[in-house]
Amino acid sequence: MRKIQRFGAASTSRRAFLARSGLAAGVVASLVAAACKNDGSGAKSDAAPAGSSSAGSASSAPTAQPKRGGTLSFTVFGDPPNLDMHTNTSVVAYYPLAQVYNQLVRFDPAATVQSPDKIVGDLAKNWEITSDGLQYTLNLNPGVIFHNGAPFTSADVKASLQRIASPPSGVVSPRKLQFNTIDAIETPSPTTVVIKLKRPTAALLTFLASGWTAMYSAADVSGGFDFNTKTNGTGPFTLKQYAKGNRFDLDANKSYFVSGKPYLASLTCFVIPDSSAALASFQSGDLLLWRGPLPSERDALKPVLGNKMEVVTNPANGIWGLNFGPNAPWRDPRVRQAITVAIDRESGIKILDEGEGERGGYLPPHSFWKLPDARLQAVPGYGAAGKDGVAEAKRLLSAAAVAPNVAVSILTRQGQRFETFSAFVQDQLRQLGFNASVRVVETAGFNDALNKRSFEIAPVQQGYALEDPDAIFSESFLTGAPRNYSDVASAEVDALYIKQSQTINDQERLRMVNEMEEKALPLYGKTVLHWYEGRTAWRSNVKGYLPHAGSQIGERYDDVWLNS
Amino acid sequence: MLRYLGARSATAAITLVIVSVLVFLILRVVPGDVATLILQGPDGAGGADPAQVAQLNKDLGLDRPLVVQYLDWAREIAVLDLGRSLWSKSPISHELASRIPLTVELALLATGLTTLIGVPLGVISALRPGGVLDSFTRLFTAIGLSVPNFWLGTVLIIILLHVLNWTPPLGYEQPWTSPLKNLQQMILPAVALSLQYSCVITRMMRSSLIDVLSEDYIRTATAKGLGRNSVVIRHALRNAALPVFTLLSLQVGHLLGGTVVLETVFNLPGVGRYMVESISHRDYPVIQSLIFLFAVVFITINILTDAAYGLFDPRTRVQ
Repeated sequence: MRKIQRFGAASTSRRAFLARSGLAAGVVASLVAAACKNDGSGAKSDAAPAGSSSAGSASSAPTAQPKRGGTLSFTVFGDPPNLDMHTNTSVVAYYPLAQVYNQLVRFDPAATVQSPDKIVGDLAKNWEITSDGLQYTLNLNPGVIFHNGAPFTSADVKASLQRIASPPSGVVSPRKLQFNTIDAIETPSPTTVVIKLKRPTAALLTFLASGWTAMYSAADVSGGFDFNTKTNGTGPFTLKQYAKGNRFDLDANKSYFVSGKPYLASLTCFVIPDSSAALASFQSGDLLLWRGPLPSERDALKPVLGNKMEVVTNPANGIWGLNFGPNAPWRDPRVRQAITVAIDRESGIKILDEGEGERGGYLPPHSFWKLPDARLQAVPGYGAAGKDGVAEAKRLLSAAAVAPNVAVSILTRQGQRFETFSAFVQDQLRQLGFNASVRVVETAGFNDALNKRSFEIAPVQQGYALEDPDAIFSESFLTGAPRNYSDVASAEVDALYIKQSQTINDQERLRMVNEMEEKALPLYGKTVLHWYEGRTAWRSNVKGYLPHAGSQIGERYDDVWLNS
Repeated sequence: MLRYLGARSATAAITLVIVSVLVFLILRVVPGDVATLILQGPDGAGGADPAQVAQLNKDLGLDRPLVVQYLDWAREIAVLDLGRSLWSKSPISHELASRIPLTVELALLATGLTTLIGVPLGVISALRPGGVLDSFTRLFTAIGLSVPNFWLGTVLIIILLHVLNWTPPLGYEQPWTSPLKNLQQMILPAVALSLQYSCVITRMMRSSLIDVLSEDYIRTATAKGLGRNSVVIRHALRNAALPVFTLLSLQVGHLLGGTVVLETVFNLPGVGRYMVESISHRDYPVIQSLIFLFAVVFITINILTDAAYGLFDPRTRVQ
């Protein structure tokens, strides 16, 4: 008989459930720390976010009584292609639309991290996983209704997951591979969903917790609802109006299934492409919440606003990295290693991110899955760099018979930060004797060149929605992965990927993930300079807000309220 | 007149066909594709599976032969159907409907301010060339022509922010929905735009009026005993205004094409910003339709300007 693990709340309050989850998380975190001899970066993420200038550890349980009403104004830097959560990939869609939808489960809003032990119920109140990891039974919260008044049932879960995994004609689902191990979805009752898998999938709950795994109405999915231009979710806010290039207006959902929430009466999300305009609007008070100020912008605001603002620096789940083209000399791993070894990462952090960034490998250095520092630094190029690195790099280039003064073209995206990055890389390459030049193209042309592999070196800024190894490796480091622009292939890494992907026990999986990363890093398919950080600023009258690591989870404002 | 307009219209039609073909072909040559950008997101930070890119290109009809794509678009544009955006799938006419009023309003406000500032300054300067006012005006126009309008716009925002802790309200409102908020949003960009143009108008007005004031008929009018104001306003200004009128017409046409940098600085969702975003997104139907529309507007304004010349100057009236 299969053993069954139970998760989530039985018939308890959400607060008690969160307390129990926190305790369990604490136990697991201690075990992880002891087993992996981590430097406590997981604990750093759990506690007050790094670099916070004030009460950044405000929890979702507000210390004062929340006040009702008011409008929270925030911003995105552009328009999404459409309003369909299942097809979008950018935060310009996520930030406004995350207010409209729920997922089955979510990352604990009281925490700031994406650990697998931080997943709590959203539309699902609890769930059970069989010991072989092949069956997930989720019990849904009763009484949930869509914005159009239709009840939310297990049939909607089935339709939503099927739409993501097997999108209909005309719909492109960028995350369909995340659910390609689902064998069948059963709905034995309106509040019970049974997901049966072809093989164990350790990351399934993480994928379900992703902000993009929004639950749609089955009637809408089968009835030709235009998800590109309309929304119908179960979320705390309804989309009242979307004026392209201008703003999203959202109203509180008075029938939201979480009693007493949301506190806010409405949200307004302004489309502001220019960060200077966002800065000015935040300073004048037109914007109450701003994700994305640069360190210099944050520092410019502090003396002006003082205690009228709060700002938190969080890991942003993205890297500054180098991709290598598939032609000579970059095809030679010694050449790629030489660049990786020589690059001065500390200078890169200062130049690119004004000193705010974290060195790491292929998996986020703040995450549950990070490779322990000692093991990461043992990989050539990921330890201490500097002058020794340059000498070692020259030795490697000589061994690879790379002639001095060989011309190299650095392909870069148009944009001040990318061009700065490329100028830095150009300087680093010149120290190794390359005759490096920079070629600037706009984003569409840059992506085209990457996809066609018509480049030599391409510095990139690359973000990940999820920290899970399945999400990151399948996208960037496996043979044939969409963002494996260097086309590096390793059967060993691919095999380890499959193995860890099917390992349900987190600790055992972590061991395999560390081994996988250790095997992948020396292939130098991509050179990671550092993981960048993100800053979120909000006016002090905004309460109950807690920014999360990464930009595409946890950004829902049902706990937020305004003090004035 | 009708024959003249007919001939101009026929020339315009040929021009538009050439423009449409050129735009279509140039866009297809430029690297990048909308399917990859949709899947990677506008910030380009996401990944795009090549199989999904190919599928999306097929869904969008971009795998069809170029001739077929062009003829489909040409058929639509001939009946004024602008088609649908590849990026958002929405009708382009709907997307323009929200943007054109803003751009037209900005163009009219800026042109109005330009006329109000430029014409009087030019007249005052021309009436006393070499005087104190003339010197000041020439210095002012030299500075005004050197200052980029987006820089001026940014400086205005910064000054108002730091002095009054005020920025133009976010979220564009139509003038008939919220007139005061609309004025608050539009006045600064209109001022920033009009400064440079008014300097051009001032200089043109000044030099044109100085030329006209040296004509024989002006001397005759003065000798007849007409007052200075009467001579300038009733006789000189009308003739001196012809080149100014041409310049203003060209300015309106230019402004209707959108001023993308200023729209970005002031966060206005106008036609200019829409055009640049569409180019970044490789949204071919939008770019093609917008350029085609700009060409139509420009050609129309030129034809109307030429026809209107007859109102000002009987010598140019077509027999």
